[in-house]
Amino acid sequence: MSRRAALVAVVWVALLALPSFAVADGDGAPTIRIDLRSHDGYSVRLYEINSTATLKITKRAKVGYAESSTDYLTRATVTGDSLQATFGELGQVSMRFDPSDARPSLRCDESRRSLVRRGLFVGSLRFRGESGYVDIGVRRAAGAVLTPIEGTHCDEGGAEEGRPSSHRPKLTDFYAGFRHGLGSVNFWAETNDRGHVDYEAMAESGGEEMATYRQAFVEASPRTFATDQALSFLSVSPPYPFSGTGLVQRNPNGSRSWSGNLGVSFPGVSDFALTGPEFRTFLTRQW
Amino acid sequence: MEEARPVEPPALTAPPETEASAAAEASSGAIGTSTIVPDPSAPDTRENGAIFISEGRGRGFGRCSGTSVSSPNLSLVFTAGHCVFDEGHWSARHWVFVPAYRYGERPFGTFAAKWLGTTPGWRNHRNSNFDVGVAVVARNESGERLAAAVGADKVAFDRPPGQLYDVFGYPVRRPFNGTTLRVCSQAPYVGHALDAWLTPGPLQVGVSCEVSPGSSGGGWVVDGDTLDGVTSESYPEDPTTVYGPYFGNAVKRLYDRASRVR
Repeated sequence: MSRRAALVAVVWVALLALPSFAVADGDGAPTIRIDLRSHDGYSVRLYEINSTATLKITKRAKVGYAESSTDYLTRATVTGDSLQATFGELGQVSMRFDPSDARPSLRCDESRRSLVRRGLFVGSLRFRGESGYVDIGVRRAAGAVLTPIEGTHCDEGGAEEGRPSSHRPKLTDFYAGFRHGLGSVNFWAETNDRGHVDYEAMAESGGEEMATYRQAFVEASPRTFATDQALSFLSVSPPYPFSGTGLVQRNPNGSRSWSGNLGVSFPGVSDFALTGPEFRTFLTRQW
Repeated sequence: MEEARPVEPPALTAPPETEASAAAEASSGAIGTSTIVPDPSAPDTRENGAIFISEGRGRGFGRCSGTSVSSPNLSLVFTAGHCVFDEGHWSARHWVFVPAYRYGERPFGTFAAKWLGTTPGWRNHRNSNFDVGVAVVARNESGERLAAAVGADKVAFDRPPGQLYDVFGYPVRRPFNGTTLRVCSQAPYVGHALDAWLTPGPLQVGVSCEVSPGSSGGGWVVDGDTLDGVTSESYPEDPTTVYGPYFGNAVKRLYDRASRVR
């Protein structure tokens, strides 16, 4: 997601303030996570944070590393251990927490220690995705309520991967995207230091009652990514969840065009177009 | 809070925008839906003004926009939260409101802030859903209170977001130059961007209006004389949609608090 810029201007000293979305009023407030079993070949999770309920529906490829997901976001009402939210015309949830753990546990969650209470969420969750691609009806589901412990910090132990820069191949990056109104579409193709190509697409859409955030990712063979030393063209043909081919060409006037039938399938939307004249493009190679 | 020191707005040297140039820009698609307000000092628009925030000697002025609103102290300006409190600092000592500012002229004088306030959501968390600020201003050079000099808009709270807004402001960055008041008349509500859902609070409202930096804090007026929003931010890659906080309980509390300041 891109960031918005505050519209304060400084005459002479040009400066745009960039509000941070990382810190929120909800710091220290409990968050809810409900693990729903797979439905119609999709994995489904529901979580609540910062008064927003998010239903995340993910499809993973059976082979290789490829997945696509759609997040449905809507405002939630959280009272004590109960959660209520309506996902527009697609569904609603009304569940309360029944803790089963006699003793809460501690865990490291997003760099803070949290008190975790596990148990069952009981009530009703109904959700029917666009064109019925998924139909969920749940009355009980396992889940947890996580309460961050103020002033604590923990390390999840993530380690940087990599190799000495002198041995790194020159990586090539391509980006195409645009924003208009409440929606934006973004596509990235990037050669990685394993000699493969990472493809990623993201589409977000706002609205009156609900927002959606769609993502897709696949790591693919270098055969799907063709260009030349001068970056005078680029042809990308990523595999599922993508389809078709996107083509970058230099025009005689020096401008660049982005065309083809490249598309992507997100849960709920198939063949979402990723090319067209409204896209801005960047094609670069590291040195 | 200390009495604010007056700040002299700079005499801007950029060529003045004119209706003719605005029309030419509009026909080329560069301006979008905003137009120049021919006479900002007219009775129905002079509540709107430019805000100048001194960045320190030789460092220029921050620019925002604001609106005189009705209050028992006759001295209340509504603007964006980041126009009064940003990067952990209040701007109180160097903040002035110039109603009906036009090509360097100040037909109603200069009103320096003597008290600034914002919502807890903006001050403590920089939550854009709460990016509203207020200033209680001192009398102008003629000894007049703000509302006595230019009048004041009413303020609306808890209205449904689906309104048609007159979005006022002094955009500074190209294709504008901040020399005079502009308005997107009857700008339609378009919904809430995804970012609004990522933080708590009433969802920030999006309307269709092309703006640029300097518009921050500009009033969103409904029914001709009622403030129901202020400009907060836009995406740099799509300046045709502008976002502002919803005027709900938190803004009402801020208004009540500022109204008690003498």
